[in-house]
Amino acid sequence: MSLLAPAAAVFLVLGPLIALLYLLRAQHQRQEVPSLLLWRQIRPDATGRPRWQWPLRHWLLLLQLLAVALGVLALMRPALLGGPQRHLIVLLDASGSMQATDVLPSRFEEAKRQAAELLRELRPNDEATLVRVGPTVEVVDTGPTRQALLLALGALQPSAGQADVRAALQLAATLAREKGGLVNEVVFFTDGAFGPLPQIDLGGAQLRFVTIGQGVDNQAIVNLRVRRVLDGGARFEGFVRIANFGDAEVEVPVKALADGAPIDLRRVRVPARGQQELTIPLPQGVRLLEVRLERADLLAIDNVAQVLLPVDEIEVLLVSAQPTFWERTLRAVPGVRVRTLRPPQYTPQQTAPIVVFDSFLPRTLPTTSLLLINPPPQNGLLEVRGEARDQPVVWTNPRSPLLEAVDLSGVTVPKVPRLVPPRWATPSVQGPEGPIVLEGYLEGQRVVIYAFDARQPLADFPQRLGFPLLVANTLTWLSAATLPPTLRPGEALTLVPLPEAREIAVRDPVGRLFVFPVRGRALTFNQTEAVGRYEVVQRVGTQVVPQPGFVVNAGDELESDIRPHAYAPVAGGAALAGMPRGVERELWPLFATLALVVLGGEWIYYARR
Amino acid sequence: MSARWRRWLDRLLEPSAVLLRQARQVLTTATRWRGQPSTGSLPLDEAFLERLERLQIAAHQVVRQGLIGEHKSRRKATSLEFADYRHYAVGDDFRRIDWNAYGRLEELFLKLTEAKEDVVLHLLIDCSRSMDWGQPKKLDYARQVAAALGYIALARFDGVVAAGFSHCLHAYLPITRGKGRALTLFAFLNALQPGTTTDFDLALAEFCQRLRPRGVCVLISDLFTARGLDGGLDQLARHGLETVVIHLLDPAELRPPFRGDLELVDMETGERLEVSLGSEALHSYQQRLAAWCAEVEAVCRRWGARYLRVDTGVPFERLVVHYLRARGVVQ
Repeated sequence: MSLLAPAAAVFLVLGPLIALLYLLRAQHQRQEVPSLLLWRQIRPDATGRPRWQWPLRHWLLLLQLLAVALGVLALMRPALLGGPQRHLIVLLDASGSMQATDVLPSRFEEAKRQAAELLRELRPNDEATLVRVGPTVEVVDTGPTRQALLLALGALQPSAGQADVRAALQLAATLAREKGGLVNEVVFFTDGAFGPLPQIDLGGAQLRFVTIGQGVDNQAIVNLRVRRVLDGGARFEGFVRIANFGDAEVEVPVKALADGAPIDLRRVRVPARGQQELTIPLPQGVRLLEVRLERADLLAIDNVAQVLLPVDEIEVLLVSAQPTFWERTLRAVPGVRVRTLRPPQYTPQQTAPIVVFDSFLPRTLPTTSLLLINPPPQNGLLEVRGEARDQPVVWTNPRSPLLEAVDLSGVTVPKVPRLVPPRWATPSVQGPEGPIVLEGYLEGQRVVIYAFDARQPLADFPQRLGFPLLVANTLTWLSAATLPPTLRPGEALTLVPLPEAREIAVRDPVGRLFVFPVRGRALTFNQTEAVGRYEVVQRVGTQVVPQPGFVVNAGDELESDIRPHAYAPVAGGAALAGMPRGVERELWPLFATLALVVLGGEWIYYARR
Repeated sequence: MSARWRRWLDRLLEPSAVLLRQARQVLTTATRWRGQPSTGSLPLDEAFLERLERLQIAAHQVVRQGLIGEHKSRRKATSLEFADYRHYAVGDDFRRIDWNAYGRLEELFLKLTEAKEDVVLHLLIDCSRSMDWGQPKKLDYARQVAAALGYIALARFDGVVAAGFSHCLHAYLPITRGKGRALTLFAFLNALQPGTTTDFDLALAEFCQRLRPRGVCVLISDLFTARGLDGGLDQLARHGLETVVIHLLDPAELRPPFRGDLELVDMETGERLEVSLGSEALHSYQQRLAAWCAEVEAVCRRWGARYLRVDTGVPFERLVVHYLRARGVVQ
């Protein structure tokens, strides 16, 4: 037997109160005497009266206490529970779209409220696990204690990034398999704004969606970048893309601020479920560009975007036996300063933020960003299995930052070493017999591999417009000094320490400070759920060296589309079929009747006394 | 056969064992309360009855009417037992002059002899509800005392009249004589049942209306009455009865064992009274009890009645044999 409303036990305080009444107001004992003739005229006794008396000898008191106990027991709703033990896995979508205010106060708070109701309905022998599904998936609390789960739920906050639904479902499947002896049920509180549902085997658990939200009116800055003006000067211009995810065309006031000062304000008409692009010329010497949409919509966090402008020239060390071509190519990129060495001259002490090895690889790689061009066979880092000739570009990665605005259609590379793609790198450009361009992180360093020799006489690729853009994008991505100008919430970032640096400290937009000791390697920083500008400093010896920092913007073509999407339940194993989920039988009527019977007996006893 | 003859025959044939059982029941009740075994045997009762036969009711006033009994009277009569001489006065019976004394002294003397007088014992038993209380119950104790006194009287061939009353007279045994009628008396006493409230005025007035021979009246009661005792004693005194008031009080009435907050209920009237009993209140009760007893005694004295306060905790044999004897009720 279980108690469905144990809080009603507070009414048990009535028992001591009744007993206290008996103690304080001792009842007169009935005593028959032959006559009151003598008793009427005695003096009242002030000292002989007992201050209290032991009340348990009163049958009335015992009956009243029994009635109270039975009544309180009825209020506590004793019940017989049926069915096996359950394990409830509550997935709570903490993505940016859950901050939409179409459900007041927000979708996330509504999801928390509904999740709390579900947790309160748990039977005492059930277990539950609470999972926050943001850019990172974390188990907030697990166990049979409802109060602890509700406390952990109340403290949850949404993120501004995308929910990693695949990781969440994989975690739920793992939890369900760990609790294989229980009946597992996964309930996902979400607005469904995460694209197609990943197909994950949930290990027999049933998956049920609780869809939160109803509105679609949202406009967002889905892209904000800066680029040098094409005249090669030191001036920049901002590039803004505004998306309207609503079902009606809207006119959006767009305000631009350079280092906090307004520089532009215009009204932009954005069609329903369409986009609009703007170019904003920036004054010289601007460090931070901020763009705001001055229209109230359902999701506010994607109405602001910031971008940092590069301030220094990128220093590149080129190590090449024949450096002329690449030296000229690299110098053509605005803001790049090139230093050249021959391979025999290279020592590990010769370093720069970006090191380019052309047809050469040293035994020990520097701890900076690397561009490896035409890696030689038997280089100790990459496995090369011969060469391939006349390789056309057959596939490009559309999400690669190296290929932004780069058109490689019709490009054929005359000589390509057959590289076996290492695990730490992913192809950006693919030929029929292997990758042509790869990018990746090697122990925290950014590494790009050009698997071709651009100096080949028949190579037409260097003559194409996309080649200098590819090189410029490569240097921009590789530059440790140019930290990624904008990140998505939750996106990881590599922090490259300066030589002799001891600590790297990051302060996020809400003021939290993260300090990491440097052990000679680059660091991966992923505490980027807050939207805004992050400041980075490094401690070198006793000096604190400010770094450019980076910004995190919430606007995202996927996450800013707050249109709710309902998903059908995913049935689990047969164990759930016909499974009783609630109370099998409530016993409060029985106890209430007993309490009434006792009260009636008490009344009869009192009347006949 | 008429109903009258049938009753006479039934009474004649009534087995003596039944009467003996009734007597045993009445007489052994007190010993049972005192913790003695209720075996039904009457060794105590037989010995006690023998002791009672040696007693007689003390009648201090002259009984001028009725049969000649066994009681010496202050009145001189013509019996054979010499009592005294006195001078002749005009109007005296010549036949009672002692001529021998005249011959010696030449004066006329009358020879006086003892008068033997008949005494009627009136037993008045309070059967109010308050008498049905105590350990032993005061009514049972009153039955025992009445039975003992009645037996004493019957053994001396005195007349015995018994009555039970509460607010009125509701049981009456006409005058009866002789030891052989003892069982009738016992059966009458045994049949007395508790009534309601006590009203001496009404009950004793009704009793006195049936009164013909005067004698000794023993009133056994706890005297709890709202209207007082004066009226009743007045009635008895005016009818020439020599009254003895035996005031029964239970030990719990003399020394209440109650403590704490009590709701006292008058078992006669049903009235309720909430009191808090401590040492001070009980002391006050004792004072009130003593004052009340003194008041009752004064009333008895005023009407020429003897007043005996009896603790029912005292065994009634001791009461009859020693206490009443010491107080002159029996001799």
